[in-house]
Amino acid sequence: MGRMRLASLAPFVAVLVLATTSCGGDSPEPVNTAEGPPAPTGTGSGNALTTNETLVDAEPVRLSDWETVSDDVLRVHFRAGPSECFGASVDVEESDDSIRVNVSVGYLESAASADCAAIALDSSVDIHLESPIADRQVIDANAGA
Amino acid sequence: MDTDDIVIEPAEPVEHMVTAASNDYELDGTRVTGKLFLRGYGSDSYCSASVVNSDSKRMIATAGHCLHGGAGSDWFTDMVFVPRYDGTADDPTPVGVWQVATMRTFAVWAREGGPILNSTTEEAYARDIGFASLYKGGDGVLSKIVHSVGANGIHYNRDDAWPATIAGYPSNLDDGEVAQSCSMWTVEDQQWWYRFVNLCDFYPGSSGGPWYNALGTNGLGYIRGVTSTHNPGYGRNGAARFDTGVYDLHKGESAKWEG
Repeated sequence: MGRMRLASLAPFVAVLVLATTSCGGDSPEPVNTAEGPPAPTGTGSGNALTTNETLVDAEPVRLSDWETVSDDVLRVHFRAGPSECFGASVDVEESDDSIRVNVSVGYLESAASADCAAIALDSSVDIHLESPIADRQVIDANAGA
Repeated sequence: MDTDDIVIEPAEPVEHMVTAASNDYELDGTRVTGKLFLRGYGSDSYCSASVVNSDSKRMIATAGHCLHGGAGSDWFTDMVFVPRYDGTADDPTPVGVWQVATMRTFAVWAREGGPILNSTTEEAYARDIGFASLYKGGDGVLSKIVHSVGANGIHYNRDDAWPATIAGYPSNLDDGEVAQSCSMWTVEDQQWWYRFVNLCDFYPGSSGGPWYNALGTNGLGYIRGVTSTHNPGYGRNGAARFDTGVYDLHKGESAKWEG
């Protein structure tokens, strides 16, 4: 799972931070700057994709992570562009011991001729299951694809 | 519109700081291009960036939206830059990792920027450019990024169409794990401050990658744009013009670390 992979790298990044910030003369003067009048600030939010719109050029994607939102709601994570331009389609097969998830991502038909910010974002959809997740195994249909 | 041509020269790395991996590069515009992870190394949120020369010797150029989320949002945190990242290689970080320390973009992007270029965001997209300074980093002895890998130069205030080479990590090619480049003539589309290249079709993840005005035989060159947008219907990518305002932005970010 992606989160485990990230967690295993955390000590490395922490060491890097300590190593670099402890160097003499390696501190910035001020912090980040937006040229011109100050801008309002807000909180960045997650990139939750719709599953209700027609998609263009949809392709299967691998899951990077998943989490439990409630007893019967599973949130799966994957990479996509901004939610104003991209959507997802999700197929789910449930059995007594597993939940098999197949996610595809494509441009929203409504945005297929738009110029969208070409940024890749950690994205997600919430999957409402027929029965509680309990201790069933979550399987990514596109793992290894 | 400013018309005075301003040029910042490229830089080769400092010889005693070059590792074996530093000498192993392609000549297609990816030599000082890298992946910019927005939420820690390995995160699915990422852009592209390239090293640019400056007095501080610490800077990368990227898109404004790769530093700040725009209207109602904030600066990204926990960003790291990996020059010549290759997720398919035994060592995906051939010359190491550099952590982003400070960033600079235009207030109009932070105030009005959004995910789609349209009539309400066009002033922001005219300024979708940013620079970031990096702490010393890399494999071996910690060093400034320019000293370790070299840097592109920059051309400001050019208005002509040109045969651009663009580079970056589009997620539709090699799953975004390998640097790509594409050469195509730029075209103007109504707004004089924006240029497009058709057919490269670089998907999300390509934002911030360099647009070379001229690429030298050493794999370094002069950039005059960074990837800003992708349009799947036209298979095109867009970039805002580098003008004197962008030169001032570059100088201002470098000045934070000088002296």
